[in-house]
Amino acid sequence: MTFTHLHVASCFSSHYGTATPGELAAAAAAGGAEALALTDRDGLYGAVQHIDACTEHGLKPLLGADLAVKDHGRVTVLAHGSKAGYTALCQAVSAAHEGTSAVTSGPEVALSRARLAQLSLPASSESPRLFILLGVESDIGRLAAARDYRGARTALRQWRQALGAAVYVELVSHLAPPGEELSTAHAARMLSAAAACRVPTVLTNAVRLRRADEAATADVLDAVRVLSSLDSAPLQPNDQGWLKPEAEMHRLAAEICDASTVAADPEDILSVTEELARSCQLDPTEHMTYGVPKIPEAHVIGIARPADEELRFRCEQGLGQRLAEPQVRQRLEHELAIIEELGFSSYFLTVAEVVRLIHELGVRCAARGSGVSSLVVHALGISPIDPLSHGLIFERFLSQRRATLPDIDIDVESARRHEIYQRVFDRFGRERVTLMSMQNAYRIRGAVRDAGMALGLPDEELDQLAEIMWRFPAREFRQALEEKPELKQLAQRIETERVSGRTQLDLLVDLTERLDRLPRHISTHPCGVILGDKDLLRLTPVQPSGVTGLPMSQFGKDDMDSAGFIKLDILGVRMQSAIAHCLSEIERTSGEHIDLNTISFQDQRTFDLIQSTHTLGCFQIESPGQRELIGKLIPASLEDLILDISLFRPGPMGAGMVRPFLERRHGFESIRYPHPDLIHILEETCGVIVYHEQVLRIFDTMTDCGLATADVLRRALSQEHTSAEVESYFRTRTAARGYGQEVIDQVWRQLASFGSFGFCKAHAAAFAVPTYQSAWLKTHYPAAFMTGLFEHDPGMYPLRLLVAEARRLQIPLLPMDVNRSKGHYRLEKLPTTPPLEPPADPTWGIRMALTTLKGISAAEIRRLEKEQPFHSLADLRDRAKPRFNTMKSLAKVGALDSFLSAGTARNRRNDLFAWIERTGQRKAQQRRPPLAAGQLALPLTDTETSNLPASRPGPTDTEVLATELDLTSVDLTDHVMSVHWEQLTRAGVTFAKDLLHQRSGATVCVAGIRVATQTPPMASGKRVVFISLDDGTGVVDLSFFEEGQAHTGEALFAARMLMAEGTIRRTGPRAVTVQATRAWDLQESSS
Amino acid sequence: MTAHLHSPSAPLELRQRFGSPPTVTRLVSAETAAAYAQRRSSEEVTEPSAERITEHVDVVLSERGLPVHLWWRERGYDVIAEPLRWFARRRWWAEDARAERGRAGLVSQEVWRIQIQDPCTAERSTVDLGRSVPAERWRLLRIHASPQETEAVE
Repeated sequence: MTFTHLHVASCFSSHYGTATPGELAAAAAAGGAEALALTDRDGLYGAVQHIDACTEHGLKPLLGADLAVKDHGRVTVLAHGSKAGYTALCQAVSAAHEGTSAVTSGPEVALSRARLAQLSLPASSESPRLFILLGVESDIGRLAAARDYRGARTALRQWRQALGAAVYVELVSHLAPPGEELSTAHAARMLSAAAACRVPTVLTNAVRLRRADEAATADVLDAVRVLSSLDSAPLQPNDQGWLKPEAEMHRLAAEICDASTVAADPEDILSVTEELARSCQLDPTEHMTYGVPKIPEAHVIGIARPADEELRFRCEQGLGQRLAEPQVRQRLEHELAIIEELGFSSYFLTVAEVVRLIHELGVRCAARGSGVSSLVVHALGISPIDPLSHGLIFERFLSQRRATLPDIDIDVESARRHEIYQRVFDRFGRERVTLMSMQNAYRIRGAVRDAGMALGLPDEELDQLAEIMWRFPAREFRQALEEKPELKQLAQRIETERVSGRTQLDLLVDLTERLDRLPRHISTHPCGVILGDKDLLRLTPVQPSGVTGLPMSQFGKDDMDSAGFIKLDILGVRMQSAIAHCLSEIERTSGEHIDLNTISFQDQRTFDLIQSTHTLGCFQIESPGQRELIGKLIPASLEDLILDISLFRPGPMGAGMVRPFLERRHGFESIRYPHPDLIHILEETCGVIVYHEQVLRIFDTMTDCGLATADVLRRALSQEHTSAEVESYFRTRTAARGYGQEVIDQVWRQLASFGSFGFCKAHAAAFAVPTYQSAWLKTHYPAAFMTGLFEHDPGMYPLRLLVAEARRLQIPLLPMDVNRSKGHYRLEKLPTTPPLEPPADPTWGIRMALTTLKGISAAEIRRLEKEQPFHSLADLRDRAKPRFNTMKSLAKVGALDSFLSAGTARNRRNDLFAWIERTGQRKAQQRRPPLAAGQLALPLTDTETSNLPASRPGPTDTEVLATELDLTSVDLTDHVMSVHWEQLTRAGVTFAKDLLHQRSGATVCVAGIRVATQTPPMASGKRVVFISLDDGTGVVDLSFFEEGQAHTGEALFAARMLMAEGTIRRTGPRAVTVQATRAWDLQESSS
Repeated sequence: MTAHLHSPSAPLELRQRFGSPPTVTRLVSAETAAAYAQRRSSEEVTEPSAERITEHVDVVLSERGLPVHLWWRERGYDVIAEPLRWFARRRWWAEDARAERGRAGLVSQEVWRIQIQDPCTAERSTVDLGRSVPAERWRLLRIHASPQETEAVE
């Protein structure tokens, strides 16, 4: 007789299971099983992976969940093998999560027994929809463990009464020491309780491990789950909770029966187990509508005629006159035919409806991704990009030969993303929409921390350790210790401690490796929204998301295609918010309304700015690597920006495509084409394959395979096991069509080396638009643009670097002022000095926002904004009622300077602070007599500040700077490095502004605050570390190769301020980097 | 009978097996380490009536994989009554230097409790045997002063 495991936890039982559903299914199949259940704790997080893995290994899948039932412990809930069964399971899981909280520790995930019974029991005499296995963690199990025989039987009778035939007693023996929980005796006690109450019994192994040797990992997870060390955590009794093969399970059944006082036949238990397993087998397609796309119904989208007709009508409307052009008409017909055949018309209409909702809310939005390749998408107003004018191919997005569901991504203002979600839920109905979730897996830093916690290492130690870890797979920790220069010191320490018999760090390395990639916690996906029909919530369990009031599916993005869920990515992009704030500030201050959709893409001044590489704050092109590439590439058109964005990707960078392209572009190498047929395909990129679209066209042109097949070939090209097939297909077909051997060889070489690394041009085209728009705004409205950046901080750099950039652009930075600052960064017109003639442009400054002040509350900001302006300290206290600490911070940072008598300002700031500190608490509590009716509050002179006792000198520049950094994290009045300038100049440091004038190869010393660290993939496969330092005059970009890394050691990733030595490397007419030979922690070397 | 059970090599083995210094590094404060050592040593005392030793023995298994004979110090014993087996937890993080993926036998040790009878004297005793699976090695862990009864379930 075969044995089916009915109670199995995968690693998706967070901090409990150790194996992936795929690993479990493979092991079960190898052990001869015919079916396998997955019953993760609190959810179906691994369900889709389980179904896929079972299908792959020829197993019948069963699904369930390990759920807490209020006051009755944990039970295993198994779905009956039917549509009703799977639906009831989804609903039971969702019900258990009802009322819980995604963020704070709210009520436990649990459902009531009454609710469970209601979901489980059928209306008629059919089989129960859910089966309930009462195991060791149920109330029965606990009572049996405590040897409360009578209690166990009473509890079991109650279960039987509530759930009737749905109830089974689950026998589990992990062969724990005699008498303990999970011992054979424990199982025997459960058996006799079941016998006494005539409840059928099944055998499981309450599996949480694939193999016994994973138990140490589970120990660590047990400890981490209760935030404790291994010494004090409640651990599993031993390592026996693994996926045992049939023979071992049969033996356990016999041992349990042997230990039992009631006459029990192991064969009976095993056959009941198999019977239950058989009735729980799910047919994914039939019971779960697996793989069948689910789209909102036509009446919900608001269309009366058939979806195909409606889509055609709207596209024709959208394209209007352009339809007269034959290629436009032809392309539209081509796309519509494919969409109709695949039955996706209503999907496109749904997306169009969502975009309409976003526009209606007045939120900026832009389509992104391969969907931009579609003329239909353009015609519906979802994307501004015309695919025809950029040579984008529909088949890269959708074709009869693409197995995946279409996927259109929409970028919106990040600050208003939740508003859009709410609107989508309202519009389509809460039963048709849910957010998507994502599993966050252990990576090196988190793994080190948690493994360290389990071993009882102190937090500070772990902080220090985590700081020097830089992006390597946790699984390769031990190997990294040998290879990475920043870990050299740690490796030596481990060695020393090992010699002296201490092995805690050695264990830390092993445990960190064990945790790698295990799911750590679930969170709301940053952009995925699942749209379905009225049955959506019967097909996916949901739980509260991080977005107030909205649920999220327990499934993630990799589950969507298999399960047939359609998702829409509505991604919050901070740059869109920054642009929106910039535009609204321009409109507020000048009345000028700018429509970015109408600006010219050929503005010379904008390209001058881009070519200058002063692109901090511009979308996509602000990183050190991008600034270097721009310096070399010198983009002069939107097409060039598309090219630039495509080249700056892990694929092209890693494949070494950039260099040959640049050589040809600048004429250092002649452009050759392997065959005249390919000239029109490759001329836009000087003969180098950069875009996926080019790969598709090459395949299509040379083999005549059609673009749909070409896209299949392109994807197969990047897979090692299929690329040989592609090659033989390509060679046979091209030879048959008369291409010469030499041409075939040459083209294949290029396809093989670059083809699989290229970038989708549609993606890049979609990115290039906001890139250009942001550069255009920085060129023409620098102050407003920087205001937008300050407000939403959209890029990779800290706010203080953006402030430094504004300073470099000579934009006046206006300090926080309680009478002028608002809850947002704002443009402010500066008073012009009278002699200036009227037509001169007014000067615009940026007023710091109150939000920058640490510790201030949103409510305080609202009150301040509402009551502004204030004529005195007392007035401020009276009407805005700031807390004492906020009052002190405001004074200290200078936001109350305006209350001081004119001219004294900063000099009296310390006196004011001292006064507030001494009297503030008392004053704050004093009530002023209310004004009599009709009496006006006179703006009297501020008696408090005019009588301020003078005792302290004003703060020095350095003190002001320190206070700013402390209270706002931004050095506003001057650059934080300015205090070091004198010292650094004496030490012979070269500043960023002077680097451009250095000759290539010159040795220099540089210093500054770290603003960026990157380790992009390299053609050589060797790691290069790019560090950018801000020294107050600009940004110095440093590159560390092997030698530089070795000489720098731990400071490489840990030090905040660095001093470095290296040689100048000219990377373009306007770009230099410093190739560092070594660097030190500036704070350590100066102290 | 328990008095002469100690083999000359036992103290050394004991040291190797249990006596190694607790693996506490300088990362932990002295007090924590002391408290920890205290905890560790107190746990060594499992059962007052049992003597804890570790000595190699040979076990003859039945076809069903159950022990039937025990060879210990060149003397044979019969296994009487049904043996009991379980897996006892090991505090591997305090006892082992490494815990890399795939290391077997880290978290628990298989234990068999059997009643043996000296065929010559008919003297009976209960002993616990430890089994390491990959090498199929058996060790004598404990000799109980009085025979242990298995639990009777009501």
